[in-house]
Amino acid sequence: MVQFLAPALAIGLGALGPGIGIGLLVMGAMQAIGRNPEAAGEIRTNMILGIVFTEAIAIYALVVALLMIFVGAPGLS
Amino acid sequence: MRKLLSPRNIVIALAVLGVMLASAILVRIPLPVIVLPAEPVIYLGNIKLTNTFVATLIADLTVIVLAVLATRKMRDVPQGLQNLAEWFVEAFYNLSEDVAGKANVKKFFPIFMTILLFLLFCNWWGLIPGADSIGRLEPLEYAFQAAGVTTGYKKIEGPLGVALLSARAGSYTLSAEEQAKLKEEKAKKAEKAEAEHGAKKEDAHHESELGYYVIAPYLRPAATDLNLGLALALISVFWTQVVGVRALGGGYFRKFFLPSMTGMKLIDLIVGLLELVSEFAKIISFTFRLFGNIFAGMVLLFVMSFLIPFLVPLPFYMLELFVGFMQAFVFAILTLIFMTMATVSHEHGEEHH
Repeated sequence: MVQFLAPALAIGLGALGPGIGIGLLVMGAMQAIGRNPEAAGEIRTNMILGIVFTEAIAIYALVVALLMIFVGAPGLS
Repeated sequence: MRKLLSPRNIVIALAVLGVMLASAILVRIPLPVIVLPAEPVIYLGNIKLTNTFVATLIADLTVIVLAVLATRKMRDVPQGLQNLAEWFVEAFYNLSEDVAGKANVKKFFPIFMTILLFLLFCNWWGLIPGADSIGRLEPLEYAFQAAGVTTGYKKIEGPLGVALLSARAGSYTLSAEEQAKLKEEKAKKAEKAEAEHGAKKEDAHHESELGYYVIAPYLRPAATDLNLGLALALISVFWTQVVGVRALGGGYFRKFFLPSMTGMKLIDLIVGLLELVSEFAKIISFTFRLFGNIFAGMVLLFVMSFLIPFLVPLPFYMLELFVGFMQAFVFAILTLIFMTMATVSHEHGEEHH
């Protein structure tokens, strides 16, 4: 089971930053919508775009974790 | 509120809950094989076609057929499919005009829309139920040698002579000794194939010695193959360079070597290098963003329907529909943004800001 520690750490730590980032992003967007409800549509579109880019970083960590599980390091299986 | 809690509704809710729980306990679904490389499903002589390649072809065909159907009988007042297509394309045309500007939009829009539609169908075709669960049965031994799968399931006869894999009938996990033995066999086979020099022949893998099988699906979401994302990323980045050269001539390459914004040679060199590296970073980030999102979605759906097969996976399908569209859109819009950036001369850009 120890060999699953590395992928677990990779995705766990890798999700930390994007989690905070998405939180900040949505916070800003919600405040903007609260102040200017007419622009809600445009803000929402940009927010989702921003979320996708932030999320991509978590996805990189996920890819690394998946690679560790399914491909593994050569000579370490 | 009273209407919502009428006896009839309560009975329905309880029945649904009961089926959900019963399905979670009684119906045991074999965990679909989560394999990183795409499985070959069609053999044409020495050429192996993988399931993701078949899915890509289907997505291609869908786009072409829809385009032909939508433009077959053009009317001034659009109807039916033509109406839908016009609405969809026009909405994205307006959006890309906002991003790229009036001067460039006509040049950039075709590649933007092509990537968007192609990826959209790639991602959505992969969500059709059965895309990941209908396939050829492969013996566990072969699956381990090809992709490192260690758990297989028993085969049972279903209705209409269809073979099913059943988790209830029994599953089997290869022990460490068996894995070592199979690895040795694989190495021997590879040596033999090399000795016979290219006379590689795929043996028919139909019967398992152990009696346990896994499924190699006929179709799999196309983007779960790293190659699709990589190919599209290469096209996108290469075409960005072409667009840049067309717009600025040889001056396009100045940004890589001598940006000369500051007049300081060392800083110029480093800035140019960073620009150069960022072109390659684009390829990597395009590739992994698409692959990671779709692959993670596939695994998520596998695990959800493995845990509770009834009703619970539904919201996740909705999520995956959204993610599939979003990833197609992001890939396309990023291509558009990079192209727009490539047409802006560096010195001009600095003056304006």
